[in-house]
Amino acid sequence: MMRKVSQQEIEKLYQFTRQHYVEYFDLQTELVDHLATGMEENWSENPEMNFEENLQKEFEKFGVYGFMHVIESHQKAMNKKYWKILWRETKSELANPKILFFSLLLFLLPFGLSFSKLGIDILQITLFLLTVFAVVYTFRQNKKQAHKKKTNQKVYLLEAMISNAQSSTLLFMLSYQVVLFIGSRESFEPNMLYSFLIALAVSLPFLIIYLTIKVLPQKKEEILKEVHPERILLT
Amino acid sequence: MILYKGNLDTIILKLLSENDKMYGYEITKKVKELSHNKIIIKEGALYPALHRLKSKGFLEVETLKVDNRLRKYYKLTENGNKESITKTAELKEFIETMQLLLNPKLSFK
Repeated sequence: MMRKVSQQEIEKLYQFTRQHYVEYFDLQTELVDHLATGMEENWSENPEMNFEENLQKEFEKFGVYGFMHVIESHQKAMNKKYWKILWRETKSELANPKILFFSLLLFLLPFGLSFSKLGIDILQITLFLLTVFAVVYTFRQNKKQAHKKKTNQKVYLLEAMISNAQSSTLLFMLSYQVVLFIGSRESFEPNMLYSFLIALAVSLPFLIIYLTIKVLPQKKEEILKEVHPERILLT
Repeated sequence: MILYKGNLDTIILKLLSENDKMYGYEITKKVKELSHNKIIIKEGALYPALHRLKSKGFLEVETLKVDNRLRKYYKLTENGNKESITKTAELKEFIETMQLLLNPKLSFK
C-alpha cells in the first residue's frame, strides 16, 4: 500500500511553512498540499524514505529562494483583492444616509468652531484625546495579532490589513496635529482655508476610526467568507 | 530548457483550457510529461505565475477537501479563456517567425 501523509504530518507541514515565513493561512494550505503530494509520489517510488528527508527533497524544488517569490506574489495578489473589497464596503457605508448626515455634522461642527480661539482649543483637545485613544487601541490590537501568530492560530492577510489601516489613521492624525498647532499661535488670523483644513483634520479621522474599528471588523467574517470560501471545509 | 515568464503564463492558460481544473503540482507534472522532461517548471516560479494570473482575473480558485487536506484547484474564467486563445496564437506566430529566421529557404537566382 502506498504511504500517505498522515493528519499529524499535515500539521507538521503547516508548521514547516510557518517556519519559512509563510504567515497567512490560505497560502500555507496551498503549499502544504503541494509538498504532501510531492512527498507521496516520492514514497510510491521509495517507501523507505523518512519524512524529513522526503520533505527536504520536495522543498529543494522551490529553488534557493524557497518560498520567497511565492509569498511575495501571493501578498501582491491578495492586497489588490482586499483593497477593492474594502473600498467597496467603505462606499456602501457612506451611502447610508445616517452615516452621511453624521459625517456632514462632524465636518460642519469643527468648521464653525475653528473661527474662534476657544473653538480651536476645544478642537485641539478633542484631536489629542482621539489620538491617545487610537494609540492605545492600535497597540492592543497589534499585541493581539502577535499573540495569534505566536500560538499558531490561523491568520489571514485581511486581519493584518485592517490593523494596518488603523495604524495609518494614527499616523495621519499625528501629522494633522501640526496643522492645528499653527492655529494656536498668537498672531494667527482665522481664514476659510484654515478652517476647512481643521474641519477635515477632525472629521476624517473620526470617520476612518469608525470604519476601521467598528465597521470593518464587523464585516471581517463576511469578507473572509467571500474571499476564502474554503473556510467552511475547515469546520 | 529556459522558460521565459511570458511563456509560462501561456503554458498554464493553454493547459487549463484543455483541462477543466488543475492544481499546482498537477500542472508541473503535466508540463514535464508533455515536454518529455525538457521543460521543468520550478515551483518557485509556478505559484507566482498562478497568483498573478488570478489577480488579473484570468483564473479562479476552487478549494476541495482531498484525503486529509485542502487542495486549491485553478480554473479559467471567461476572460481567461479569451486570453488563452490570444496568447497561444501569439506564441505560435512567434515560433513560426523564429523558424523563418533559423531555417531560411534560400533561393539562388
